Amino acid sequence: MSDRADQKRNSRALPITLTIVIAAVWFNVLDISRLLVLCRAGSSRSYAEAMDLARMELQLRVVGLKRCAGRIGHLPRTLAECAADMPRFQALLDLDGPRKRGWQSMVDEPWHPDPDHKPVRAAQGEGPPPELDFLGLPIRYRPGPRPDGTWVHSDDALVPAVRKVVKASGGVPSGGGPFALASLFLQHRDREQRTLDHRASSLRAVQFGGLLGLILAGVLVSVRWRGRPVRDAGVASITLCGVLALLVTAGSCASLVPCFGMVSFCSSRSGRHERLEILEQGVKRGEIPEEVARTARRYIGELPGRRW
Amino acid sequence: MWEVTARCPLSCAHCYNVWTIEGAPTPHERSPVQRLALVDRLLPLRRRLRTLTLSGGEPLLLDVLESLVRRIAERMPRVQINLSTSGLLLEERRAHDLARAGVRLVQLTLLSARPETHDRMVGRPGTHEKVLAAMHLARQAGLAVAVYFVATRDNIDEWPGAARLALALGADVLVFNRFQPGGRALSCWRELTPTVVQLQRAMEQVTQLRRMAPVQLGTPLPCCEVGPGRRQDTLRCPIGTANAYPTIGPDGTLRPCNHWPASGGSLLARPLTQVLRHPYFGRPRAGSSGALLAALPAECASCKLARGCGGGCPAARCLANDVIYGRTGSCDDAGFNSADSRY
Repeated sequence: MSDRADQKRNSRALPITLTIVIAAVWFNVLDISRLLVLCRAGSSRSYAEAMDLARMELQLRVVGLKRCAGRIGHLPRTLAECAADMPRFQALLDLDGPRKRGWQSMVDEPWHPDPDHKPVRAAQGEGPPPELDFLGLPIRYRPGPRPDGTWVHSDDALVPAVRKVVKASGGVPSGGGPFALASLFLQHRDREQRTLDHRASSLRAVQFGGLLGLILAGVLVSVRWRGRPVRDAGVASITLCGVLALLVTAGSCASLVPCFGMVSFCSSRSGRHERLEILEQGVKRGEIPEEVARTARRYIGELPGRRW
Repeated sequence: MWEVTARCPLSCAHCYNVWTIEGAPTPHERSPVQRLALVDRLLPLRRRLRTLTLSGGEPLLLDVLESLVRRIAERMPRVQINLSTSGLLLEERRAHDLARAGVRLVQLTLLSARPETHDRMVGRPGTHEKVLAAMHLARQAGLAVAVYFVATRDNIDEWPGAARLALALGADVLVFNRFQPGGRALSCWRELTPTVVQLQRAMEQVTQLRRMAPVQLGTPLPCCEVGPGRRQDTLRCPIGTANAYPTIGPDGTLRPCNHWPASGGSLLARPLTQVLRHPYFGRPRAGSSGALLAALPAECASCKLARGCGGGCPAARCLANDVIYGRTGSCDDAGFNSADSRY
């Protein structure tokens, strides 16, 4: 008699548990990725918030208003506040003609591709007067070592800011006409939002497609798995993994319904009924005598179960 | 495998134990102290050894079995300890003691679902009932249960019933062993060996039972016996491979397997590493005594599949004088011949 039983493999609980764990990890990782994408898309939907962030970053870090804020004792809302103490800002305020022309064109003739686009001020709600809003300044910009033809060219302090905005916004509008930095942000926001929405829907498809594939693969592997039968510990691990996976995935009381279903399924497969069925099959076929079956029934009633 | 004692309360007609061969000397059993010393002799193998099956005879006849198991578990904690028993002497308290000591799996032999068949084959009335009770007790003690079925011409048709009964009683794994000539059975092996047709019918039932539970094959089976399209069930003798199971006899000698009567040396006289240098335990080489293990039976000489198949159990082949299983004639009856390339 050989010792083949010693070489037995793990029970079917292993592939089932692994399938549940891998499927849950897959679903949740993809779900988190999708939520992150949606979150980013959601934050970019807030136009005023995006503008505020951009203004804060640009004005504080680049243009030099941080120094201005230090001098006047608070964060300046307009360039005029700084111009009183810092003459370099006066140059911006003196650009009356071009600034007014630029603003007028933006108000009267929106050049944003979105027909519902409202001028920066209208969308922004509260804020500094338009003529003093840095982001609303109409500018021209051509890429190169030194911007040429910008209306703010007289103040070198703005050049790095303009470059930064143009770079962050993915380039200048074609046509070479005047544009506002705010409009660049607006375009960039729309573009980014479309990309993020598309990415979120792709992730959703990959999430469910992959989940289906993983479950199918798990079922196939489990069906073909040859090993020792699933014992109590195996059923417990399957149930625990399933419950945890459902709770983590669904995260609500609704998930308890499939949990109860799974526990009920595992309980129904707990062996007693199945073993009795196997026994009765043997009796019906005449393979197991009735007196032996009677003893076996008594034992089955007392024993913890063998699993399928 | 470790045959811890040669004593046994049963007298199975199909017994393969080498000391039951007619005229063979009864092995000199070692004392409890020497058995514990043998455990220490196995330490060089503790990293490679996966399982150690304590067998017999009837190992439950040893009063010191629990301490032996405990010693093995202490010295070789990564080794799974199995107990091969008839179940006749297994009681509730002992089952729990053995489980606590470190036994993980109990191997029981169930020869039929019919008590009269089982009891007749083991030569002792009431054994069938004891086997069923032993399965129950082992399960209650938290031990895994492997049920072995030894298929002879008498009981092979009762295999499905025995398998269903074992599954119903909570067996974790079923092992189908085709009877191999050896031991006491050498005097009547022709009467006991199942025919090829019987065996192939049983193999079909193995396939059906595998839908319900793991069913393993435990004895080397040549491809001409397992039937067409069942090449995956051809089992080659594992001697000389990593899956070999050298067997320590009751006298402390090491043999290539539990069916092979000659030993490679005593573990109490020489260190294990020296004993393992015997040709029996390495890859068989031409001209050495180990080559006998690798030799093919004469009728397999022209078979294209012989190299992968190995021609069945070499021990049984040698013991039964090289003409076994009724292969001559039976193969042709079943529609096989050596030139068959369907496998």
